[in-house]
Amino acid sequence: MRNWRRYILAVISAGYLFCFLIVPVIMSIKSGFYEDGRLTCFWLGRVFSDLATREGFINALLVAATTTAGVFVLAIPLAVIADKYDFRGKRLASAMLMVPMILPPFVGALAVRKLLAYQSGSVNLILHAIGLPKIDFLGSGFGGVVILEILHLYPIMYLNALAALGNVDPAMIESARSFGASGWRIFRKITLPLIRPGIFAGGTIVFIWSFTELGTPLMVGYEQVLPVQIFHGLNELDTSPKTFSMVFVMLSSAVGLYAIGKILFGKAAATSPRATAATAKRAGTATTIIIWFIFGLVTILAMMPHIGVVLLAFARRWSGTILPVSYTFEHFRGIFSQSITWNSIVNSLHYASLATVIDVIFGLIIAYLVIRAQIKGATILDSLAMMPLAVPGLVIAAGYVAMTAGGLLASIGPRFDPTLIIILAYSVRRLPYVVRSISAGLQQSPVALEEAARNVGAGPMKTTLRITIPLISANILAGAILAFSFAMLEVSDSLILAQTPQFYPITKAIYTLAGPADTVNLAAAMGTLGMMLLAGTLIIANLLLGKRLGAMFRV
Amino acid sequence: MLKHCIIAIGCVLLAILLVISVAGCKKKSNVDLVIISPHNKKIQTEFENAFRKWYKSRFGEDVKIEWRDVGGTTSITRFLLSQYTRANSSGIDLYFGGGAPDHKFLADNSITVRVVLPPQLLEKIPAVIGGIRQYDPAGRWYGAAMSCFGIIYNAKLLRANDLPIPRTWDDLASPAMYNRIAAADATQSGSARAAYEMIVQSSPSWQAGWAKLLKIFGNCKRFTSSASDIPTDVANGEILAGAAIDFYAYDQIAVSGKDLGFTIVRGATAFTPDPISMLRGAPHAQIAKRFIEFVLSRQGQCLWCLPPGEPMGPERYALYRQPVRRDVYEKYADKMLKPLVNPFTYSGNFRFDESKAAIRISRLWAPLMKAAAIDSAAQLHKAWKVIIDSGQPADLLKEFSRLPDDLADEQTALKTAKKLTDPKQRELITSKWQRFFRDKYNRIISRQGK
Repeated sequence: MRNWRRYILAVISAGYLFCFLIVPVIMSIKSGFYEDGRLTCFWLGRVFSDLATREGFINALLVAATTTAGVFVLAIPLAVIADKYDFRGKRLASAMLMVPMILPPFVGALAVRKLLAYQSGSVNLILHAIGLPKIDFLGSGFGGVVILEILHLYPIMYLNALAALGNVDPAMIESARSFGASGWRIFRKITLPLIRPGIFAGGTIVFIWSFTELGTPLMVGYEQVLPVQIFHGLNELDTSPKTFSMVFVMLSSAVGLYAIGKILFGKAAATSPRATAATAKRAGTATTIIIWFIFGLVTILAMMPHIGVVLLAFARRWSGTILPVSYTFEHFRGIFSQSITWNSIVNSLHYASLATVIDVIFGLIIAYLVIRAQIKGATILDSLAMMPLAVPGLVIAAGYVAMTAGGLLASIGPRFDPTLIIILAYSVRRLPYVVRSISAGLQQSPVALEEAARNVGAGPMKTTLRITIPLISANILAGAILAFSFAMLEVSDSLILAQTPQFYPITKAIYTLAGPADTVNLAAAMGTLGMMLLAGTLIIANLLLGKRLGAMFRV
Repeated sequence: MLKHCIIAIGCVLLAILLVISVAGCKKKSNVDLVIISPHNKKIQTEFENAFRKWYKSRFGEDVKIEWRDVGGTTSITRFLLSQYTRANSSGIDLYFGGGAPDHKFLADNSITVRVVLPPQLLEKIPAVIGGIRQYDPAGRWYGAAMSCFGIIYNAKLLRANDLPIPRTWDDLASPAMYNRIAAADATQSGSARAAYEMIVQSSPSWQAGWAKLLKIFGNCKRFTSSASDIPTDVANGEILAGAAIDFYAYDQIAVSGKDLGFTIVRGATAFTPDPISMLRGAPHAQIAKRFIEFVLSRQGQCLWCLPPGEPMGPERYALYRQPVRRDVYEKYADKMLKPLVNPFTYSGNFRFDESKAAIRISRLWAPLMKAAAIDSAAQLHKAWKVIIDSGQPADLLKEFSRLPDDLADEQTALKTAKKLTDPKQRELITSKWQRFFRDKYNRIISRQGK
């Protein structure tokens, strides 16, 4: 392909990212600082002088810090065990640990109030039955949010820690051992410093993720936290500039944390892909049983909320007992007979499939330009495409609200027909996954094949269609499936941008139905359906991508 | 090979999805009546079936009803507003259900239009109950059902904790309920605002009403964003009691069984109408008018309150709503669904002041509850505990229930409420309240042990 064509493609994809990622974010920041055409810092000041938003900000930081600490405690020992031992069924046990990653905590939260309630929650009823005192888990809601987020996010840390451990040169450990250091000392003095960059990278993701998480606190009912305050602000008829100032505070904190994470811990440590053979020990029967017990326990704990959702979806009567008293298929039938549920499924399919098409097109272009063409400014394009990973969904959604607040664009805003902005928001949010997936494919397929095609006279178009795309088709499909299934259960954009039920996607329908007593089971049935969809698509993506699926969730 | 199979399957699936999403465009069919409503499916089904039979027997024709679902009351109001800024008709005939404030608001914006009912039907509908108008004198909306606030409680857990069943609003303010109740957040829930207005109006004075409310908020374990969360929390045993709208409570009781109960506070309860109104530019105005007449007829009113299978009653579902017609309460007193009460006797001497309520509900409640309770929830909770533990001394109680100067009495508060329309003013005024309440609670907490 001639150079200028490449640059046209580059400009188009950069333009897409600029218009639908950068502009909305700038608009939303601007809305917090401009009032009646004048620049003002009044509202930004109010974010910190208002007791409620200040505490919301502090609470968000506390949730994030507690979640990150919890994730460290839970995931690192698991990763150390998995790195150190080979045991029967290791692959299965590791795969099981990943399951919570794919189960949206937003859906899990549906059952949390049922499971953890103080007097008649299932967990407390079990505690009571075995003679232990009941525990007030939920309190203000903080506990519930943190528990759910730890159980959702530990796989990220596990993957990062495991990868970092895999890169520790066993020779270093061998030499420490030959000098007589104990196992604990080796871990503290050699392993831990070496894997620090990896686990801190994971920690950064977990921290930002839980700091900006909207769906979980909203469903649990923990309202005094910044993302929920922003959400309520955006849902008001006239969004106050203060809400956009809150968005600015959230964005700058997230970006700041991300930058700190990159600067402090992003540097490559003295690790190299293992040169020597794997050092994993073969575990004996007793050890295998203990390991399985630990892995199984964590998995079951993490799946508890989702098991609760499934029970809720089948429950006919469940009140004041550990398990439902009677079961029914009624709620699943309800999904297809009620307009709000069925409509939302159709809407989600519509939004997610179109967003996926956009993602595949731009994913292909960007990956090609960055990996194959290696145009000037490729790194800029690449970082631009990766930016949605660092910009919280809430901020992007707020940007679309600001962008369509008035003027010509109001007719595609949340108050009228938000189909277009929802599709764009979904596509921008999930672009990084597609770019990464396709880039991985391009890196692995030999350039020589494309060069050979060009040598025998095929044009660039023909080469791309006949050689490159078939070679990386598995990666394209895997990226598309990931983008599609995440878009189907996208939370923050959906909750904010769809404000009338005829445009509700699945998640907003679940949120609306979760309140009233007579529809909460229907919401659980929808959630169960969503989890089945997500699990199914991820199994397919896993088969296509193999081990590289894990790389999607690393920095 | 496996990989190729998966790729092929994946492509087929994607293709199917695309087809579905394109086919998602709605098919149009002939309908004779379009109704927008926040009512649940059960209400829609029962009214549709009964109306179709009634219509067939009267006019010999079959009618087809289309229900538009755009969400709850607030969403519907927002949806209609946006529709009528662009066109003179929304293609919808009736707005059925939702709160009277929304119907009044739409009437004031000429989105709903006048409907004249036959005088023999109109005389059956009470104009005012307990100070509350049940239909618009200009005929732009008619109350089709009534709803009220009461207390939902978990009888089993109350018994287990040796607590009495709450019968009055004061019972929710009692120290025995500390950390055992919850309340809906007035900034999120319109019905919560109405409930708190009623608690204040049913008290001897503005100050006394607020003293009671602050104690109730002090007892609260948490504040929920939706009024419907309270019955759920009571059923789960997260809390033991809380204020709830009657039909949310009855729905929860129907789902969860007899461990739960619901009290309507005698003599301190306002019954507010759940109206029906015709929209401007209604495409099927004649049938729409007949639907309104049917809803207000004795047969239509019986659907709300009789058990399924009863003559005149619904076919499948018990709807648990309060009808508006006095003759229905009198004639069917013994057949009516158990928890429903007769509002004509239950409201007692209580007279609700709608004009005060309108201003306070729309402007004052949300920012005031935010400042007094939500923003300082932890401090309020703790301060109230200090007062309970020290035996509720008069000086502390007085300090606890003191209000900011610009809210000190009813008249001043109304004046202040009018200032809250400007966003910047509101921000400044409410931030002063926020400090006032926070400081007050902190002072009480610091007196602990002295």
